[in-house]
Amino acid sequence: MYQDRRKLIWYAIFGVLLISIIGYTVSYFGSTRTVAVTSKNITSFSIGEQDKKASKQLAATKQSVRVKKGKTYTLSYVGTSGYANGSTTVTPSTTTVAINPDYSAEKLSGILTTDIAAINTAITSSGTSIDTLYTIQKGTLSNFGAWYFTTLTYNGSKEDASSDTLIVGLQKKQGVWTVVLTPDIIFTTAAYPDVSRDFIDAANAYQNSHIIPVEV
Amino acid sequence: MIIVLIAAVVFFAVQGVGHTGKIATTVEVQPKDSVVKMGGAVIGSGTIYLSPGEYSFTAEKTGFTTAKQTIIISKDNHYVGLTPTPVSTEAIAWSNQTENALAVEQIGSKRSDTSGQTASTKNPLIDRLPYSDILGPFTVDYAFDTTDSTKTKIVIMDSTANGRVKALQWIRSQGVDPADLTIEFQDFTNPTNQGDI
Repeated sequence: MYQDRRKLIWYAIFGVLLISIIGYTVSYFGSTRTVAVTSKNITSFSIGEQDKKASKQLAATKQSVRVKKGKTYTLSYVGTSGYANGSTTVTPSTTTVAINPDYSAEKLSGILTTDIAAINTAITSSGTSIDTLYTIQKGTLSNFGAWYFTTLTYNGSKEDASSDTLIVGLQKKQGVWTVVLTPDIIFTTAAYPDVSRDFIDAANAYQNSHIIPVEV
Repeated sequence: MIIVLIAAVVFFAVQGVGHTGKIATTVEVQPKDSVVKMGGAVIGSGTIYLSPGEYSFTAEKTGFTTAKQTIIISKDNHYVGLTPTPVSTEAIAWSNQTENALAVEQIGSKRSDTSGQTASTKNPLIDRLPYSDILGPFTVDYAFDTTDSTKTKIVIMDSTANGRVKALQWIRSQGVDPADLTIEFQDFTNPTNQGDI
């Protein structure tokens, strides 16, 4: 009689445990989803819910992560030598994340030191009197050292009608720096139908972040 | 009598089904005997039923240059007004007659409203123009392309260099990407484009 009661208690405990495990499993898979991750040139990445400190560290070889449905995450990655660290946002609708970090700031700086003379020569020859009317500022290399954007600041009086700071965009093609977007205030797809939208957007983003109007 | 009635009911039912989802579009032309075409096919003037979308119309008449109009037909935008421009002596004499001149003017007036609506549909920024900021300073407005009245360009005027940067900021603040526009800076002449390189 006593043994039967003990058996019954063990069965009850086992049953409750089993139901709990099944419940937890169903609940976990019902409330989470898989995001596929492809990566190159990184050593590791981590993912954590946005605005929360906790994050989960994962090896670069991991090809998917489970995230809670309806939540936004920040995926941070560490680049291998010569590649930048960075982060990307995983929204509730993101299904795939492709991590492909650009060169690191140090590597881009090294390329720029080597290429700056050729870049400035190309800019100077892309329009009239650029070398006398403007000062070519030090710009930014991006897209694995193949894109360069900079500003040309007007040397004359600020009162001159066309004293605007101009933007110029160059691409390195077969090792040669070429001016793709000639110096101007802004770039449009109508004016440059043969230039990729990504490049025009990057040039205009450079304009928006580097030419700040004076508040009167 | 009953057969006629049934035929009438069937006719109107078929007509109604045929026009389902289509918009009654008025096509007016002066001179009235011009040859009106839609997408190259002769259609004549009057009321036609069209599905919403973009259509191109022309009106041709000897002694006149061909009139063209491209329109995005919608429930709020369904008027086509074509007025070929007189070139020959007879055509000019026709256009100088008061009643003809008045009819042409009325069509032109209706067409202007339509062009504005078409431009607004293609570029929502136009509904918020003109916009001026005296502290920029700048004014943003729009103008129609001289060769195609359905195409518009954004005109930034009354501006300084600082104002032009602020004008671009204002355009972005309206949720419009400047890269998608055709922009004319009236007070700016690019010094790097002057003369031969």
